[in-house]
Amino acid sequence: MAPDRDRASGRGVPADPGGLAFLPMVDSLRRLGRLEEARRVALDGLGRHPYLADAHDAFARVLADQGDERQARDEWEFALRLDPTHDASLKGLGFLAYRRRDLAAAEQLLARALLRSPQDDGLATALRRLRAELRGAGHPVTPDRASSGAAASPASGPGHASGEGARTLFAALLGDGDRTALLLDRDGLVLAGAYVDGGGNEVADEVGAHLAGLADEAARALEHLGLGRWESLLVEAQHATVALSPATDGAVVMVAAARDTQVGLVRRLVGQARQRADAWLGAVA
Amino acid sequence: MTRAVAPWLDAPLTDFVRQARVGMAVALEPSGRVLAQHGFTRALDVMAVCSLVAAIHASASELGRQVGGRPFGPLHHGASGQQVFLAPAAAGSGTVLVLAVFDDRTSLGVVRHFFAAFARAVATVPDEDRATGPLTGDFERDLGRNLAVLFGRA
Amino acid sequence: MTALLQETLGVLARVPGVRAAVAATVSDGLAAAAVASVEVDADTLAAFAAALFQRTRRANVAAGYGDTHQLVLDATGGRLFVAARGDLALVVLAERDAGAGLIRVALQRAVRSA
Repeated sequence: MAPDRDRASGRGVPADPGGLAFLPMVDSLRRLGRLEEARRVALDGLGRHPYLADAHDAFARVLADQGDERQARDEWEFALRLDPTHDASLKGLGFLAYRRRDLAAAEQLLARALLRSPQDDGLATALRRLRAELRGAGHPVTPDRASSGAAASPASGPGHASGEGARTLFAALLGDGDRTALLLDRDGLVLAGAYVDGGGNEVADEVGAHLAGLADEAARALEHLGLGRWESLLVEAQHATVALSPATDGAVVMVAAARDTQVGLVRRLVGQARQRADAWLGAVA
Repeated sequence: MTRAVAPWLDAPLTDFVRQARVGMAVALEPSGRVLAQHGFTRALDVMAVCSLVAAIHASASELGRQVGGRPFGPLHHGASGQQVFLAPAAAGSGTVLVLAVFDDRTSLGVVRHFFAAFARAVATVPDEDRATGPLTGDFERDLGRNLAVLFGRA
Repeated sequence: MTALLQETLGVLARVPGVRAAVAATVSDGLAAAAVASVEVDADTLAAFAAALFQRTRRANVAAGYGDTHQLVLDATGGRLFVAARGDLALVVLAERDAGAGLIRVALQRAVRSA
């Protein structure tokens, strides 16, 4: 407790009114149970850093401590809009979901957080317990890529939906060229496919997280332009041609090919990958 | 979250903020009296902003009348990080001013589009609905209560 | 500049199946010039096409694909094409069955000359 007391009294933080010293101070005040003070410090910091996800997270924690779950959720959701990879906010929302006994939502949120912070042992333990609870209740659980590095099989899925099967779902389709395909869920998490860069690094999670948001943006544009549902998005970039297409249940199929690949071929590949993805999703449902 | 002392503005301002993806927004009367806000965390900020917005609007309106016979429309200031959009909307027989603060997660074109939707939503609010709520009384008396509502301390 | 843009948009608008051709700023999403059929709101088209392009551009940079040259969004009710050079985007809205190949080539040529 001593360090907390030092921080809370101002002795442990630098005198920097424009800086981020308020973040540990909020945390310390919370731990000491001085919630009104924590709230004031958090609000003051938020006023100076309205676009900082950590500031919204700090305020949300105080609100959650005070039992104002609705506003805490707003703050964590806002933090995620500022930074979709903000793991503390994912954990916060997961905590709220758990508290209202929405175990499936809690599991998804904590799994996303663990993906961002695979070294967080406390989080991994919480997720294991939560999954045990979920299995006890007969719910499916999210494939865990954070610990295995590859999509694991759903606990009760069919044989062909095994982790290796998920990774190689599009392999036969893509051929030998410099092409790759991924199946992403609505949050940008990889469901199937693999993506290894030139240096041998698995980059599927990273690429998927960046590109999946385009599906929402495409849908939004079409809604306001009155053009109906989107069928595919084909993008010609400096180093690659990328195609996206919507699959079952809000999932998105992505195909990326080297820039010298014919554009028509990429469009055709994404259509075929979508068919394969829909069939696979139907089988694992 | 959106906090409103004028309940008829709660839904339109919430929709505007979410769809246009602006970080902060405040709705006020041309007199500078705050009606609803989203994203501000300090009462003093909102009070200062509303005073400035009312003054800017009054100046721009008068300038527009002087040079062209009509008040100017929406105003936009861009900077490297943040931008502001300020525009009036007719609400029944009155006027609501909206100031939105946004960054490069959205654009002026998108903000203008959703402001038009906001303006359509508030244009049809009957005067009797707008007249209800704590703002109808004495401003000084209501100020503390309104600020408490706006910052979740009511 | 405006006359050249208008001429460029006129060429795009004459491609069969094209309903609107708009020049817009990518960063602001504002229409600078437009040739559009009456039922198309050029301002709305500019705003959302530019927003999609901007988001795509950022995602491509983050994913390591470099700058974005062009995108085609196929939907049940039409086709949207956006190509950009710097902060100037050319947007084409076309019928669902319009020839994507023809429009793509015309757009590439237009963005080079705009």
